Amino acid sequence: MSNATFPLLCAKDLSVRYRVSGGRGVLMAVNDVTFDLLRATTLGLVGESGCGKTTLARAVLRLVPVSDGQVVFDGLDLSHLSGSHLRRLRRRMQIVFQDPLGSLSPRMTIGDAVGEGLRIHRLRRGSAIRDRVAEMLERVGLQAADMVRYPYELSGGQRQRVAIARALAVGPELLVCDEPVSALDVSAQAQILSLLVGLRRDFGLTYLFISHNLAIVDSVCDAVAVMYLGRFVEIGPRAAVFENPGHPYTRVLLESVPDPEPRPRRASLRTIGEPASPSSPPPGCPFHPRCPFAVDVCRHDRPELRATSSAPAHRVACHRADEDLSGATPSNASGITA
Amino acid sequence: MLQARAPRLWRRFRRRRLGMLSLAGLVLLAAVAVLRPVLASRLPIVCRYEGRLYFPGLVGVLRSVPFASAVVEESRPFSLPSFDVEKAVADSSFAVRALIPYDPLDYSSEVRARPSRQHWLGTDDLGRDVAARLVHGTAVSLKVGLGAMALAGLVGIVLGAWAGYAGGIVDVVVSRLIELVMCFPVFFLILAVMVWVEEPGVTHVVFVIGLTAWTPIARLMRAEMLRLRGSEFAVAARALGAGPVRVLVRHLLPNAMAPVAVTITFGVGHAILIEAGLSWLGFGVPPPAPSWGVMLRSAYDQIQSAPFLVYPPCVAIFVTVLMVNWLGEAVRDAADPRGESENLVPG
Repeated sequence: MSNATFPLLCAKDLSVRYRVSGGRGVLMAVNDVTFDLLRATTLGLVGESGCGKTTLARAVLRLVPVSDGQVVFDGLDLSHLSGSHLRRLRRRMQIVFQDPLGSLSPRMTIGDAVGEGLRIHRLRRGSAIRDRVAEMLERVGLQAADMVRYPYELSGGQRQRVAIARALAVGPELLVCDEPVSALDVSAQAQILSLLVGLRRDFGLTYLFISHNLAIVDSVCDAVAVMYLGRFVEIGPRAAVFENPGHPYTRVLLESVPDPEPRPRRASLRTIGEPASPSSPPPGCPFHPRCPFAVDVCRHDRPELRATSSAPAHRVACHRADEDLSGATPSNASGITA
Repeated sequence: MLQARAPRLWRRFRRRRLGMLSLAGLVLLAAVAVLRPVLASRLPIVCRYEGRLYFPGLVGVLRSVPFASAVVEESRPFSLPSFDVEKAVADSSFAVRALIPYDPLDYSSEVRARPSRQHWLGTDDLGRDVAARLVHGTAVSLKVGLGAMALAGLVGIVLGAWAGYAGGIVDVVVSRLIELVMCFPVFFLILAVMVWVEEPGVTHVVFVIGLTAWTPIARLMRAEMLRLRGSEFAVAARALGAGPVRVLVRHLLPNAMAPVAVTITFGVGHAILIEAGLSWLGFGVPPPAPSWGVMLRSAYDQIQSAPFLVYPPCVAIFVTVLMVNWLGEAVRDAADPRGESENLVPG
């Protein structure tokens, strides 16, 4: 295999556009996204609903068509790969969806679902399929006897274990986790998370981990990317992003996390309004209508991702990233609460 | 795991009383259709006539098997038109007669006789035994109903699934075709085809009904595909590396079949009724062959003078259609894995 510093997955200026049906508009679900994902590391992807996280996840797996840019998996450009070539590669990159009930066919037993990938890629034959399915079910904390059951017979957490077993049965290197725990209750969330962490360690997996829950991202990820209206507004090592957020949007997200031990804060920030529609993004910085620190330049020029002065791997798309905004008066008076 | 599925379906199906009842009834009907030469025939099943043993009825059953008539010879002299069967039976040292000892085409002077011990369901306007005609009509109606809907189901499922899954130009073409066939006065189309065919028979009726009755099935299947195509489990299957055929056949079709199966079973009744209409106009099963449709139509003309003639074909059609529908529903419920919890009653 390639050496450890060679990224397993790269996205270069990746864009996914949709035509708005009925109109002439274009919806930019994902816009110029660039990142590298190193082997055996986890990149967390955070952002509000509708910001394009799921589309990005599906685009890197080529489950939705890529409009522009490239997706490179282990040195191979997937963006224009088609048909059987792509299907053969799918063994190496798998996905776990948010809604485990929706992602499992109601008419298929768990055994058939977990064994399907083995059949598709002819990884096992005959009774060896059964053995592998049993092994995978047991690895994710279910019983081999469960393979004759149907998804409706299981709890949410158990279903998500099935979905994980199905993804891992084919022996992937990359696992995209698209909000894998947000449909589960809190106790199941913790179990599934620790399962995912254990599997990552045991199989040397690489995760692209999508969540809107920052606490989960903080506990699971090595690097974090923050998405807003289809663009990355900040990306960097987890510690840098969480301790020294450069983008006002990241700060707002972090402030919104309920803290069990409230510490004195610099200033409590809050955005106003809803995010703009991705089919008509505002000019300039996409975040400026909601940004407490927006100045004139933000309304006209869109900031590019730039390395911050503190850490080169930590990049922020904000005109005022290098200013110390902690003491600044928010220019948007309604954006602050006492 | 694949082998375990059929018994599982059967086990769950068996618990549905209406479904089992309907299955038993339809098996019985099929048996009636197959065994019609021994159930209703003026020929005896077996008799010893002039010192020899004859099996005219049993030979009739054997000869009704497709292609067997080339191998199995007719039972002479019983099969000869001039042969007096009644006299021969009377002369025989022993004879086992059919349950209904009349042929469906035998005329008699007993016209519109009320139901009696001789004629259980009476006789029609030409003095033919209604019970015998009903038994022989079973074969025609079952062939038409099941055959036409098997064909319509096949065409409808394939075209509908293809259109809904593939989308684009395929969808446009198939959708327009569906609309074209639906807008067409189908009954007249069938009439035109049947006139064009030189010697119309049951097979023609099956094809003509089958090739026009698929549109509701195709439409439903297409809609189900549109609903399921974007579902997360379809995306999951693609993510797993499944090709389009596998996604369609293994993931989408099993989830789309339930409503489609019910539509098909309803179509069976419809096909039987279309056959009745065609036969009435003289374009269906060629007269004087008995079919429930032919019987119903002739009974309808005489409803004032002989109302009792209406009931046998009516009840036969009604019961058959009902059983097919119940069977369809039971199969649908048994195939739905969630159906199991139905049996849980709170308390």
